[in-house]
Amino acid sequence: MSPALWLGYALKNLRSGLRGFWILLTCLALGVASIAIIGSLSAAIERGLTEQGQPLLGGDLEFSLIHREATPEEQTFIDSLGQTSRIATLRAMATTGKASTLVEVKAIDQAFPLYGIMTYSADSKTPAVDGLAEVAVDPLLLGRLNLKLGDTFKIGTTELQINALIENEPDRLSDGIVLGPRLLMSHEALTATGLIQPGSLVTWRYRVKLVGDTSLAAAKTITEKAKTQFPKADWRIRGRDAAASGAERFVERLGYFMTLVGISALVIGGAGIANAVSAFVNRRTSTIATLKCLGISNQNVFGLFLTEILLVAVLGVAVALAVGAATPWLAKTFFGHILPLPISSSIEWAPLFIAMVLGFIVTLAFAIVPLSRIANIPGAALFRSHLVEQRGRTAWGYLASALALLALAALIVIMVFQNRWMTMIYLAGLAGSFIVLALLAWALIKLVGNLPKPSNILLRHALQALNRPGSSALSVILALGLGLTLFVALALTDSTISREIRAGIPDKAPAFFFLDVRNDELPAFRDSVLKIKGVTSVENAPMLRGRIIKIRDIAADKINPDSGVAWALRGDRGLTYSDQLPQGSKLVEGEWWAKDYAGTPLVSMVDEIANGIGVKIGDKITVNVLGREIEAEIANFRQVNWRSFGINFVLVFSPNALNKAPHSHVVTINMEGGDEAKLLNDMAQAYPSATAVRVKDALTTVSDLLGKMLAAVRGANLLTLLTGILVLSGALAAGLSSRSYEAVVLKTYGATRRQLLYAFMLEYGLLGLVAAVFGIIVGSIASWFLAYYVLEMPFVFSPLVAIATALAAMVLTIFAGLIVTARALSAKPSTYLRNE
Amino acid sequence: MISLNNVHLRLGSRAGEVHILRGVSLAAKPGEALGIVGPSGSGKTSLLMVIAGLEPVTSGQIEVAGMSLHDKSEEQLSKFRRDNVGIVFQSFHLIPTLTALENVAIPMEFRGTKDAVEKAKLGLDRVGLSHRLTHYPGQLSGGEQQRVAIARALASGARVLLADEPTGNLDQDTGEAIINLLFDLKDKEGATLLLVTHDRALAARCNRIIEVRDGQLSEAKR
Repeated sequence: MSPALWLGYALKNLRSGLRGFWILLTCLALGVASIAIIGSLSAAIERGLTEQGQPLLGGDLEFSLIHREATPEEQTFIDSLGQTSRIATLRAMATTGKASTLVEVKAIDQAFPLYGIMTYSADSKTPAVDGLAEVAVDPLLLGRLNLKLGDTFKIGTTELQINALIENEPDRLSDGIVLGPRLLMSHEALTATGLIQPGSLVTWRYRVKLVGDTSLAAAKTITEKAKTQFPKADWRIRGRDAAASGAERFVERLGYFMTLVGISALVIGGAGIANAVSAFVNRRTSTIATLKCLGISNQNVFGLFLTEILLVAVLGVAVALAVGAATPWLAKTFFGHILPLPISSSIEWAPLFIAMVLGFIVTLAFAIVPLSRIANIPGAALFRSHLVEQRGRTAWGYLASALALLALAALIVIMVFQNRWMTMIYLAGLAGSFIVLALLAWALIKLVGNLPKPSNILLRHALQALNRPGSSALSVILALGLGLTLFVALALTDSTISREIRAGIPDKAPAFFFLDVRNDELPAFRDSVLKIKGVTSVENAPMLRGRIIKIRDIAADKINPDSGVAWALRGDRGLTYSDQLPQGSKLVEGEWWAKDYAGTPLVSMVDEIANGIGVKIGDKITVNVLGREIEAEIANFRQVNWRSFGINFVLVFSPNALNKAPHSHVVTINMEGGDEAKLLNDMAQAYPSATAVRVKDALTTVSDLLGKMLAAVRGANLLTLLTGILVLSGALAAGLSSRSYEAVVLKTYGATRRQLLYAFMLEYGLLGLVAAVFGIIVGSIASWFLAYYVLEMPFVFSPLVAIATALAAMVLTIFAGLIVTARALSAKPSTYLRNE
Repeated sequence: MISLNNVHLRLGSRAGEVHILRGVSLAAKPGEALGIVGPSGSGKTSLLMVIAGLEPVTSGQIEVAGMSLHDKSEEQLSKFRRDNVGIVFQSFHLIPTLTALENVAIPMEFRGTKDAVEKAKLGLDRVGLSHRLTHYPGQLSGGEQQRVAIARALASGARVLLADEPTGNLDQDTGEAIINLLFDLKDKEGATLLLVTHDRALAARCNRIIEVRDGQLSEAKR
């Protein structure tokens, strides 16, 4: 063992530059960079959310209550913690008489904001929010209602004047999904609007700027104390670490998706590394044989060349890490103003370290098997050159080491990234793809060997090329197959998200959801809507807000549901009751209750949620509605088509469970033709307490998020496309030197360049076709997995996209392959033959 | 120094087994020079490879520099070559990424020789290349490259020198200078030289001429 000598000679070998190492370098750099970039970006956003936690939350702690304000005891407790600010948020309709729109009302006090700065446009008046009538609005509202600064509009029966235009609202992200423009007003103004009625959907938020210790730990201690002291309060208490949990979940989900893609790119890059190392060993055959003739042991030759490759890897990893390290800063500097999330510009060491470790492990794992061929290159190669067959003993020891290294990399990935089971399944799929592709290549080579020889010389030559010693069929199929699989998977994911954006509105989607239609107003409301031109149907259902707090007497926060359904247990949900199975639902298990049922409260649950939580018929479930705990027994499971945009609820109770609680109704209105804006305006005038959500507007909010997701998927696509093409070039380069010799000999004996080109096209076409079929099948499965489990959206299979992507990528890569091989075809016979 | 006794070499190929060396026996004393001649494909190069331990024999005994090459592992044969054998090729086979000095030093460094670089400098000085130490093979003429190869072969104190048509790629004058150098150094070091060549005149400079024909050896008359 002479590691110092290895290093010395490896450095000497590299003095002449990196010629021949570019594919290895780029494959590795792209693979590591994708993980480093994605990891750094996710970490920087998470850090940004944490660092900005106080302004995002508007305090160190927030106590929120739905429907009710804090009791005097609760208020005293909150006030004892430090400086407080009281905020109310709700949705309402703003109207000018000519136009109406949904607004997100936020009533604030003098202390708001406790952290961060609220900024208004330069021409705004100060104070922006003043007394009974003066409000600040999101400039978006001006467009929707055709207003300008200083104009007035109505909320309920109260006239409000626009005093200021909001530029920056520091705590906007913590309020969750915002469906309309923001309207800031004082509590007095909110009271004057008359919007606050028993049962109306107001969220009361009490924010605290803690005195003294403002650490997360201190906030946690207070949270526990509050829960113990007020067990029945049913308030949601958030620390600044959960300020933007919705945004964080989105970042996490997207980050996880991108991480899986990054890992795939690294593994595919690994296949490129293997091919590049193989080409490297081919190029250095003469040097290796010389060293052996000089009496240098196999171990030393192996060590020397491995060191050389690792030195190149150090460079590749360093470049990738530098890009990864700069990513947060670049993102903040160039895209900070358009990113919807705060981002920290500091270097994120943890993801860089993981990317570095994975980079080196993957390099070693994929380099040692092709490098082990060094042992099979005899010194005698110097005497007999091309005619010496390398005795190819399988280096089981090296293979086992490579597998052990890959297992280590998999273990690190599983331990480091979230969703261990899902990561394990994904990695198993990746490993399975490798094995199946290798088997396919083996079967193809065997099949070609046993086929009767075709009479066409070009076809015969192409088939023989697949089956000869040293054939690159295996490496080309592996590289091309994995590359095409990833292309197809990403293209299908792209089309799934695009379709989600484009075709988000089903044909029969309602035009509006009206929320908070009062119980006493419902019959009149229905009648007036039905009279409006273009309205085809109106549906309504009672609606309350409530939260699942216990299942089978186990606290909801102690239950660990499948990630896809976890949302059902988070925060407040809409609840309803009904004496019959709601439209758009199908009973799949259990019985529906009788119309006049009066026994123990019963509840119907959506089957996929029930399965994800792990409950069965007969289990007890407890919800908190307006501070009251209601326990019900699960009577049946329903299947719901969420995309019908009908009135669907996770939980539907028997009427006797909820009909005594104050509640309002949700009404959906379907229209064909007719004037949507007029309907909105008329109904807003007539029923000021009801709020209308225009489905198109709501979907635009969702589409915006999906659009960002799509941009990320396309970024990943580009990265993997680059890696894939490089990997294939590497696979082809590995066989290049033998190709040059073969082409020279054939040309010497009269084969034309065109004939050779056709034969190569046939050969690669056949390999490409096998890889493409594999890519279409496995890529579709991978895309389904990514869409369903990672992005949590219904998978859309588009055969056309899958086939077109696979074939286009195949043609493109074969074209790239031919460019590489064209060098072999244009080799001058004299150059080669003179040396023989 | 070299002793072959009834050595057979059979190699498998796609076309079937080829019997390359057919029961050859040979002995060479220290300091002796043997010219190996014979038509192409007669087994000259195979004979060199067998003696260098690069090709395991099918049967027979072979002993070089006091070591039997029978049943030795590849690692043991590597050490054997490193310590005892120097090879000079027709195509030089220098490592293109290393300088002349490094090409000569590398086997000694891997042997753990102290002052390997100093010894390599001396070696290059002896072949008249002290002014070309930092040149890469690509920057040297054919004759210079072959002189580096000879320096490399001798630098580690090889007792057996195997040369496979060392002048085959050189013009006549350069070739002659190289051969003079080779013989000169062999005499100074007291090494045994096996020189494979097509050139009868060159072979005649050796102490004995061995003719290889159809895998068999015979001593040629001078």
